[in-house]
Amino acid sequence: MEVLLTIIFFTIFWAVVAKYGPILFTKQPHDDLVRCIFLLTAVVCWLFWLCCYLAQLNPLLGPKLNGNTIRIIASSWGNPIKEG
Amino acid sequence: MKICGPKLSLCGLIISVWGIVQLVLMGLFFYINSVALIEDLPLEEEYHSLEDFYAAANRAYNQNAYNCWIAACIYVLTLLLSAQQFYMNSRVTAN
Amino acid sequence: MGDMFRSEEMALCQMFIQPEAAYTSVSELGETGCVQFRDLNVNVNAFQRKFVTEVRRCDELERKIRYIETEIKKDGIVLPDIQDDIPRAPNPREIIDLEAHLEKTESEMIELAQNEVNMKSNYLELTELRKVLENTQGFFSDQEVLNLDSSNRAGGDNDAAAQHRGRLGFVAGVINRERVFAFERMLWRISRGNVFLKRSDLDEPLNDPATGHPIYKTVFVAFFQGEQLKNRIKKVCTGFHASLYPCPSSHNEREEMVRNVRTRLEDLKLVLSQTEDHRSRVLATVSKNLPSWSIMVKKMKAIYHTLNLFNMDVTKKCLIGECWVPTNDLPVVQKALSDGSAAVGSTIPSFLNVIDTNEQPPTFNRTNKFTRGFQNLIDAYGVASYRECNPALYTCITFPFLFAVMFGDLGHGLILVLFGAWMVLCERKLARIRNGGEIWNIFFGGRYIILLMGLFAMYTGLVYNDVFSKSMNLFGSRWFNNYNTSTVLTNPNLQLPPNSSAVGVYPFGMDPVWQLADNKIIFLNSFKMKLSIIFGVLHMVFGVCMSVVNFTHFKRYASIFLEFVPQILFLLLLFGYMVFMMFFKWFSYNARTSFQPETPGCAPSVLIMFINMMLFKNTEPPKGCNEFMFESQPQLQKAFVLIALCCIPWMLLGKPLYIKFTRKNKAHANHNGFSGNEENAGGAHGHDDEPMSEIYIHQAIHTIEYVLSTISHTASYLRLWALSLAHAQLSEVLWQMVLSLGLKMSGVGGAIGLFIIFGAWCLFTLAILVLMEGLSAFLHTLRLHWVEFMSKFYEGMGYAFQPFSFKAILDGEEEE
Repeated sequence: MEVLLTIIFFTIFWAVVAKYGPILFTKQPHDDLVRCIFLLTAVVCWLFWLCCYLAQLNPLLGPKLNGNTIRIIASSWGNPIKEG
Repeated sequence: MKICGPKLSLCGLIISVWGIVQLVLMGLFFYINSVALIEDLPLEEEYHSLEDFYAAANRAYNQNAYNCWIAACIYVLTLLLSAQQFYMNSRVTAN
Repeated sequence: MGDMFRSEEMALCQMFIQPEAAYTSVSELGETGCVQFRDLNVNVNAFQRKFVTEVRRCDELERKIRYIETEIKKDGIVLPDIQDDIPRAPNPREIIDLEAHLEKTESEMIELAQNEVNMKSNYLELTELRKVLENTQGFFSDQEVLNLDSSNRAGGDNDAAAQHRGRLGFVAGVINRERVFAFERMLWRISRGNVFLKRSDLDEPLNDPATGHPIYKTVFVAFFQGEQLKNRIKKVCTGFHASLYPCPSSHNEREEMVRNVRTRLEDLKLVLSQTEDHRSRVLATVSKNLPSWSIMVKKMKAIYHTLNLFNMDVTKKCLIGECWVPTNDLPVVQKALSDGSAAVGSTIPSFLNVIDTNEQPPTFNRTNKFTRGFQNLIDAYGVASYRECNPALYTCITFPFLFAVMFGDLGHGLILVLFGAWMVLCERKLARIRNGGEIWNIFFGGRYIILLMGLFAMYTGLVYNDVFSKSMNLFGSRWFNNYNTSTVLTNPNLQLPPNSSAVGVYPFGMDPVWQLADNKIIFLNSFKMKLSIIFGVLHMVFGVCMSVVNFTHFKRYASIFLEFVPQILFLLLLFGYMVFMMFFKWFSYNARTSFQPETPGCAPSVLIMFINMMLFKNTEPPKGCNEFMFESQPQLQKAFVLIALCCIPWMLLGKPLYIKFTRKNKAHANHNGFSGNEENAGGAHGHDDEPMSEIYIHQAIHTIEYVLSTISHTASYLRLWALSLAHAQLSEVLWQMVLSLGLKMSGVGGAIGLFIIFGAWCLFTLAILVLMEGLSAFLHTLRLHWVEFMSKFYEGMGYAFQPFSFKAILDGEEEE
């Protein structure tokens, strides 16, 4: 569910950029150029993000960390190491 | 007094500004024990207990934070120096 | 997409201008700069054209201006910079005044220079005389003591009688220092050792009056006996270009002479400085107007050159010119012509006729300051054919984006952005820099490219989560440690299990934990490789689809079916399917499932799967796993490969057979009395005169090229992965090897060490990571566009529209 919402959120975000981004530049005479630029920007940026997101969706391997790093991660990212 | 030419003083100016901004930020990140900077700490490979490790890490983090801030202060000095040189140079060319 | 998508429509026009209005009209056209004239007198030699005398006159004026300019430069007077109010071309009456003025100035300059040379040589002679007199003082002191009454006016003519036999005579003079030894030897030889030469080198160099170069000289006095010897010595002196000076032998006379010479020198100096003043006054007054005169003359010369391209009407009543004009600019040209006529009060208007032609018009893409850089990148490969669709439009984004995939780092991107933004914001001021060197011009010309490259590099850096090789934990890492204390303390390193440690997905970009992991390269490689193939295939599919736009525009509808459809099928069924498999693999395999065939251990390699698909081969899967990702995959793959293979003969034979068929039809139609030429010309475009065998060969080459290039180009996009990996690794190495050293120092010296090492790290970052890596990423991006993208649809056989424009002429001159 969270995954779906994130994807929808970013898709909408870039769609809005593609659609309403050119409004920032309406003064320019090269209207078509600006529209094309925003459309392409939105498409490539969205796809780039999507690939990165999907690549981490179902990780097949986990990060290999050394001891010090694990300890710091545990204390800084709020997940103390369990006793035992 | 003019020591360095226009190009060198500009270079000094840019590196000083960059140094101040980045070192102050890095000091801040060290101060809040940022995980990303763990590899830059002078730490041992092995510690006997977790408490030992956390104490050592905290010390190292703070030490590095102060070092960064001091280095940033030195960059403030070079910034002032380069700015003065830059001003001198620009005045010479303007005349 | 109006402006950038295709080059503008051009019209071939014929212009009829009254001879008296010709000059002003062409001047107006030069100001607007939207007309390219064609030479109508190609076979007339340059010396027989109509306006040769005028062009010569301009050349003469230019020569004078250049002469005065060099004189001004010699004097160190700064010429004013006039970029704001560039004068218009002068009308022919004004030019006579200008000519007279320049003539006067030039002759004045020449006269002054002549006078100066005269006076300076005079000055030189006097100085030499003075030196001779001063230096001989030492030579003579001995003689006077011995009371050897030498000839008192050695250089004079009337001393011959006074000269007694047996008495010593002498000549004094000055000679170039490098000749002294030869001179001495010669004297010794002619007199059999009977000449006594004394010399003394002058310490300060004298100045050559004509050139101003310093020359070193030596003063000499030659003593000898006898009239005969004297004549010989004099001959030797002239031979060696030594100048002789009269030198009285008595001390008092010499003293007086020195005094005399000194006063004369002072006077001369005064006169010299006055001439100098006068000269710089003249030059200063001229220098105010010189740049504008120079521009006026250049414009006038350009106008006459253009008029030389015109043809005279048979009745000699009007000039006829042919030109290419963008259809959109026709009203502007009309207006310029009527303005030109009005300026001379001509009653008969000039007029413009659009004429039909079969020739290929020039390609004209109207650019603005933003698109010019990108258009230049495309034009460097080849100017688009007329009305072909222009890749520059898409390059505006795809270029910076592909660059950024290779250069993804937030910090380095920020540096590029700052540099680009500075150039863009100060572009008015910076555009005035004329002598910044070639490298500066390249950077400045590409300022918008640099800005966009920086912006995209920041975005990709954010997604890669790289800031100078460090990661930011903006949204909270989704990896948690589940190991307990004893495990952590006993193991030097641990791998977090993906099934229990990962909770959710990091929403934007790479999870920061990967930057700290020892096995991050394994993970990043698989991600970046897939990423580069996905974008590469997409880019190529886009390129192939662009060819449809061209086919419809040029009305070669048959080519859509005969070329585009098999091409896109071939690409999509093989590599598009590979992209699909990548996405499918991301979705279907995960670590949390208990279903054995979907666990990470069973995930097949997409690349191996693809190779097996092409070779119809099988690999045994590990125990408990499936070889394929979904059920009907083997059948689907076989079908895809077979269809793709069918596309090859389709591409190979489709077009030649179609041409053969239409030709036969055409011949048939002609036989029946129809002339279907006009309609078919579009369909069999460009192949009308080729024999069938050549068409087959061309098509074969084309097909083989496409099939092979599909594979090699896809592999070529892997450079996106390779370069981004190299960039990330290099920046990490730089951090660890340089900056980390400074950070790990402890104690009092730590801060100072950090200060120094940080400076070094900054310089390395700029030089290696931003400049060098940026350049290499730029070149790879350029190649990806030129070869991998544009080869799919771009012909690039056009020629550029070069309008007659004063602005271009003046800018071009300055660059030379």
